[in-house]
Amino acid sequence: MTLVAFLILFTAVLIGYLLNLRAARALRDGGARMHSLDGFHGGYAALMVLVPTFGLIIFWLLFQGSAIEFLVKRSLPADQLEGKGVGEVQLIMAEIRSIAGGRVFGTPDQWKLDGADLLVTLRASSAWLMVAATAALAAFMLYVARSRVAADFRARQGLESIVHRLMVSCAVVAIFVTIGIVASLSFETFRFFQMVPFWDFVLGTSWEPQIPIREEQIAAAGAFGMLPVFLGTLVIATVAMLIATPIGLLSAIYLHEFANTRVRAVVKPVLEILAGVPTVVYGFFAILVIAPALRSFGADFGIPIASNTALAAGGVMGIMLIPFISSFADDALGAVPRSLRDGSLAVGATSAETVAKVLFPAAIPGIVGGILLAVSRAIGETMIVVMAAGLIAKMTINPLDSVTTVTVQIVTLLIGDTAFDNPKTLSAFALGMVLFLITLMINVAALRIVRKYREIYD
Amino acid sequence: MTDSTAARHDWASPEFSAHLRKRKRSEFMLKSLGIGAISIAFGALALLIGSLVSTGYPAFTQTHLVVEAEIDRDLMDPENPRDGNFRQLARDIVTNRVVLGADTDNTDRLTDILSNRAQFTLRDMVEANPDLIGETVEVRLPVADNYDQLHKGMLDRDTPEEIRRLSDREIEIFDQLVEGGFVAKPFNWALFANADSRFPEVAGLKGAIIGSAYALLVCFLLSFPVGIGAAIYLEEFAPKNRISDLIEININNLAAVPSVVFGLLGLAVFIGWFGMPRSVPFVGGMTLALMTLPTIIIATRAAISPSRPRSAKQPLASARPSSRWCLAMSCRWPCPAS
Repeated sequence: MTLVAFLILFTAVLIGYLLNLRAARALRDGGARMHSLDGFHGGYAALMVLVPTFGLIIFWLLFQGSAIEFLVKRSLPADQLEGKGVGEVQLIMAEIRSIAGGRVFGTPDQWKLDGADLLVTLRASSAWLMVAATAALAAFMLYVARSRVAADFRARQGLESIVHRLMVSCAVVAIFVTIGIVASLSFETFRFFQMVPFWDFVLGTSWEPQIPIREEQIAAAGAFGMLPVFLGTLVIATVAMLIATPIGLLSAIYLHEFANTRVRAVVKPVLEILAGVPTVVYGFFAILVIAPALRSFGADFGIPIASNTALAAGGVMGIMLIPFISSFADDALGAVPRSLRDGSLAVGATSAETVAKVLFPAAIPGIVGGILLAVSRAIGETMIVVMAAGLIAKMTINPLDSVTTVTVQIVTLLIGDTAFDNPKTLSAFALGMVLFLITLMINVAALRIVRKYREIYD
Repeated sequence: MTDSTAARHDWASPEFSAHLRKRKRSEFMLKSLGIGAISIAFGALALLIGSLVSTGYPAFTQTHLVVEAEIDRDLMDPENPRDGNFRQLARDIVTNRVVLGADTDNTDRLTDILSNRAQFTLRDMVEANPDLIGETVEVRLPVADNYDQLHKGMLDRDTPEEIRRLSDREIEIFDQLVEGGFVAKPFNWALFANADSRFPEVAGLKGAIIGSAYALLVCFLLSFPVGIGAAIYLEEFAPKNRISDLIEININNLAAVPSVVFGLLGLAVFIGWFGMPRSVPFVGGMTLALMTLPTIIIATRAAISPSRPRSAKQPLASARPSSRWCLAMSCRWPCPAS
């Protein structure tokens, strides 16, 4: 049915275009002095039909599921749902859905069968209604657009204003994404803090979120202190930055100052390959190659190294960040005015002295900005740590030990079917909120530094 | 006084040459550090690719048993080949046809050589062509995971028998098969044609590839038009005021928000609030679209911003927005596509 609706939409768009094009052409042939070219009349009609009708279909598709669900739920006998939790009601709805889909297990109660019947009827009528509404709206818009064709109608301006508004809404989508992130995170975080006290979360030193979901389940008592998780993130990010920063900076300096164009042309793209490797591949590399190597290396010296040590995850993350830092540093060094460099070389400084004493200090803001962005990446990096870091949160700063990170915890908390009514699921949103705030602060600081620094030399 | 000045300018004096040596040394040091850093990065890349290729390439071949086998008429009904006893057929193929004279008490271990899927491969073959019943044909059947690993050399024969996955006897039988020329190692088409499976030897990526393709398609259809529209607007039309500044800062920040936060957004909004189903590519694709949108906007803006043809046609361009869209896009098509 959705396909039919889209077919109607595209036919209507085509008809609108041709109709108005012909009408305009007829007017012109009839000797009228048209304000706009015929094509603009056609395009105006096409967009007049396309935009609202397309919006209607999308709106319908987005909300019909929830609306039908709501209606079915309301039709169920009240005494059956009385005193049941969210989870149980969801189970009942799932059963009704599977009955409606023709998969009947055992002999369900009559009221469930009735609910399934209603669901099937509602789905069918919703599909028909959607097609009907699409056709009606398209026809109406066709009529409106056609009735506007006239010699003095400013079709070009009309078309342009529609496109302009479309583009503005595209740009505003970005703002809505941010609003969506903030709203969803703070809403769920707020609900989390209704169940777990705020200070327990912020200052707690124990993280054991695997609490029982059903009453008879045996699981941890539950402790939601974020400090060990953030400490783990910090350990891994520090290891990553300790590897990425010197290697990235030194390679940028070499590339910028010592390498000739031929070397640059080879080395830069090869370094960029490191940035283009999917992080899941890095995770695979960390857990299957680096971690065992480190472990056996440690065993040779009698040092116990955990099999998912922070060194492996952090080290591989550091490798991933090398091109990030080196290209930022390269840009920053390149943005230093040539006069500074030439002046330094002219008074007899060697290339090394020029870089170390003139270019590097001048480029420091840009480099710091780049490093900060890399830190924010290291903190938010998910796939490498999910594969290579541990799951148990420990209050330790020993990089040889296994630590966990915020992102790992978010992923493990949300794996599987999750209901939005227990602190286990909601704690993921609280962690996400803190992660978002931290990375946001780092990003804002970094972008501001980079921007300000650019303004100095521009 | 004159003496000391002269000494300071004496380029050949020992102090001066020592100083010069030091400077040259530090130059050399920095240069070698840089080369060292680049070598480390290259080494890491080589190690990464090397380990990927060396651990991954055996997956591209699949060990097959290639034998002439009679499709036994007694085991199935030609009218309804689907219900035939293909398990027995697979067993017979291994025991009767190949390992002549093998220990029959060991029958069950012998059938372990074939993959659990082999009976279904046979069934599909016969079902597709019922004329084969009673004929002797060449069949190609995947062998089980352990033997697959053995044939690819991934199973160490020197491991003590009790902790090895295959016994000495099993390895001996399989080696007889290899010597008899019944084992082939063709390209593993199943890797792309099969979905995931509990049996490693026949597991494939088809489901994952299709899922990725759908999610990518949705993501592309949403983020590409919206991203380009937003980029053209911001680059060409947006007035320089607070709001467009806000949008710009906002986009730059969004580009650096960790992907897991976008995941939380998708979970809370699409699944939690809108009640969309889980694990459907549409929801994943929409979330991916939100995540890639800022990157697309930034890349497109960078691609269209230095468009010289625009400034050359400024008088025309300022007159008509429609020509400015065309100009902005036409000169720079290949760039945003990347």
